Amino acid sequence: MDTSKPFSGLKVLDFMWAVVGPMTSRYLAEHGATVVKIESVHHPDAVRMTPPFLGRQAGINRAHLIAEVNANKLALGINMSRPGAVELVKRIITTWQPDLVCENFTPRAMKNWGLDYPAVRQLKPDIIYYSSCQLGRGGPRSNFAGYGHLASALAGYFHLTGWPDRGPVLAYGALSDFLSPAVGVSAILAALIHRKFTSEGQHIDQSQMEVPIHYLAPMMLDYYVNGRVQGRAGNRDSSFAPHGVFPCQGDDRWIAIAVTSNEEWQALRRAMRDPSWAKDTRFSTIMGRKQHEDEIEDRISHWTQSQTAEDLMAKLQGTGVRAGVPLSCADMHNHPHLKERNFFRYLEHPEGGIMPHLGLRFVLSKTPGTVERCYARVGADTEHVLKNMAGLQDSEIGEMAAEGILEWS
Amino acid sequence: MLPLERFRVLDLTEGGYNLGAKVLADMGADVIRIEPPGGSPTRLTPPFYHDDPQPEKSLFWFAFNLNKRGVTLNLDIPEGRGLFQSLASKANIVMESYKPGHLEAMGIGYKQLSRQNPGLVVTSVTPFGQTGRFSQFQATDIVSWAEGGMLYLSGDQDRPPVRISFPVSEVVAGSQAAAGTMHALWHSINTGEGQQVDVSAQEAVLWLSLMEPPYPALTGYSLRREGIHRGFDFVTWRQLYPCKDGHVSIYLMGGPAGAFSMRALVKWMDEEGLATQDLLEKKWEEWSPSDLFRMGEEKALEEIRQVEEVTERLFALHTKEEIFDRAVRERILMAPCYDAADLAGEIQLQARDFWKEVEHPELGGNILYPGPLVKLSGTPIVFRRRAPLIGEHNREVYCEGLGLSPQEYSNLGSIGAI
Repeated sequence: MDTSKPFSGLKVLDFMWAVVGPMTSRYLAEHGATVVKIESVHHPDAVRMTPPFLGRQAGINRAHLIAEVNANKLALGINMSRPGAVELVKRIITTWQPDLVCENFTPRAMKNWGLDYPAVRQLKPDIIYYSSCQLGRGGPRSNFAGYGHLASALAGYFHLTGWPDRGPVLAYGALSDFLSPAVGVSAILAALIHRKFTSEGQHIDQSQMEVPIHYLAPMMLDYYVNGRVQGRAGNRDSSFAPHGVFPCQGDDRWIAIAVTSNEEWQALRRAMRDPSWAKDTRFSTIMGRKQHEDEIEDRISHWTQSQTAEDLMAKLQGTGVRAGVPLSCADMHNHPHLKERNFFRYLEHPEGGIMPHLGLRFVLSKTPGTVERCYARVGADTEHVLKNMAGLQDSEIGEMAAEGILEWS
Repeated sequence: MLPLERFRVLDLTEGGYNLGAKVLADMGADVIRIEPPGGSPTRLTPPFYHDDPQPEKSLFWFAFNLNKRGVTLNLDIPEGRGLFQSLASKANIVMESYKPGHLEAMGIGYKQLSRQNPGLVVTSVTPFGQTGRFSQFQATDIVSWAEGGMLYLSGDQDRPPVRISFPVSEVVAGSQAAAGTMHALWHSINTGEGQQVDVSAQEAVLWLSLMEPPYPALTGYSLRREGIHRGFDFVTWRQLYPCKDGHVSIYLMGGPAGAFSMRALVKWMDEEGLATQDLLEKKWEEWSPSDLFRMGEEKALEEIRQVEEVTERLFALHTKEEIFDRAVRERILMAPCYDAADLAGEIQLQARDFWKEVEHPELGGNILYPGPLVKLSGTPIVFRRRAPLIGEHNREVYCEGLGLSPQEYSNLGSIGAI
């Protein structure tokens, strides 16, 4: 067995779709697991319709998102609504013997197909079965269907985003979708470790609302203990000042600055060449700076607005002030530090052209992982998976294709 | 038996990165949180129990150090570092968030520790990672949020970009540290080979902004923040609306991802006498973002604005709970924007028995915490102990664990090593 990748030999049957599930199984695919993703042309993964598209041409195989979250995976095209499809999946489980089955539908979907945990366990008693849905299993709202921004709203993130004098704004993107996968894959790996020592499989039930609430746990404790309902504070911080986002030279250019101690305030004064206003003793303590935050922010804005954001960041960091540039998507690809870390990856797309991908979520020094195979067509690897992994005959594959059980785009 | 019961973790991280080892502690690992004598700076992070800013009363500390044991240890003196080496020789994992190179300079970095313990996993979580020209730069939440691309695209256009009023970046990097550690642990269990895991908070945040980076390469333009709107190319629609008692978010698109929801929404509009003939007759299957994209900018935006206008009028008539109940019952892709008080009363969380009481004898009572991160059917997560007090487990770890004699233990105390 190839031991250069942690998950070489690990087999995953992946019913996951949209973003949160596939992002979770992408970890395993990056690090050597064989991940087989099931979808169909009749019920394509929703993110196949999500712009942007390769070459600005919409098409079922051309969306960025389907490629991004499924990199390195194999594509198996099965139309689950056709008679015989469920039997085929059961046969794959029996012959291929996956270690992990994973899905992120609402709880009823796998049950309706007869492929929920109790059913799959009959076929493979030590299976690890991972389920993730918006609100988790059991309870009156279990079948709530939603996308990432909805669980973000529910978990309190939008209520906390924006200015005290205005209503909430969106924190960018389908945030909760991106918050759950790290915990999800950690739980999957814990279950695999448990199985290794005990031969016991189990079911993992993840709520995409509960994980993000966990990340805000201090806010919930503040409510339970102190009765406080935390709200929007713009860019200010209760412990630090100055703390904000200040204008720089150019169109919509900014710098984020956080002064977290009196030493850092002194460093900021040095970076500003200690203007007379900054010598004011009212500003020498955190309490004083909090009290006069409006005035300090105006002064700093006046200083930052004539400078370029990147130069200012380098200057501030060089004198010991925490500062960063709010990156636009154009900035990211030219970011010298991210380039040095080889963060973005550019893969050839099967329909021509280059599809940009994010790199690895962490760098393992001895088994670094890969982002090498662009995922695009529904069912692109159907024949390979069924023949070489599940042991089906060519004739059977042909019949199933004719019956519409198998599909590819 | 819990999945990670046989594994020991030394946790040297600070701030929100503390979530990383907490994930492992929840799944059974024996996590020893190592603090400098006098206590960790994370203990000064608000909010505080009854707003009393004492190091033993930080709710931030409580939340992310639950299920860990705690010791004090002075790594600035040789005796302290010797003790750390002894602990590390018997541990499976070290997690740390010092400036890159700091532990190496003290002789206790990955290379040095792995000589005596080749299977050891050392996870380093820092603002910009272990390599690259920014690796020595410092950050806080707002800096990582900025350099990870989330900040630029959040907020109204007439004001600066705005963050979430909670330090999410470090917590998210902590969760990636947990995931990376689990990858390396699996490899170490199977091969005996340990390694260093390099986690960058900037990159952890970039993974939250995942839908944004491809725009320049695929479309030739860059995105801008749009406040309460969400945009794909020129197809933008409003995702946040006021309702009777707060705000609500909705996915207002058709196609395979949303046609069922749009039909159910229009049915509700119709019940309230708000649906126009056009909305009642629209083929929502053909109203995906791609379909709208193909309509061209002017026509697409006209169609979208019409739907938004009626949606706004509908929500003004209803409360958060009415909207959420309707969403569940009729399968509409909408949900209220909850705050802490709403969450405390939410019925699904209660039905799943989400909130868990943890005993805090020193404070004379129990505190409610968010419950298990996930539900594992065979090995459920339990809260075994509240976050440690300063030096609470010194004797247990150093005497019973490392076998120091009472004399040695007391000597280390008197020279300021522990």
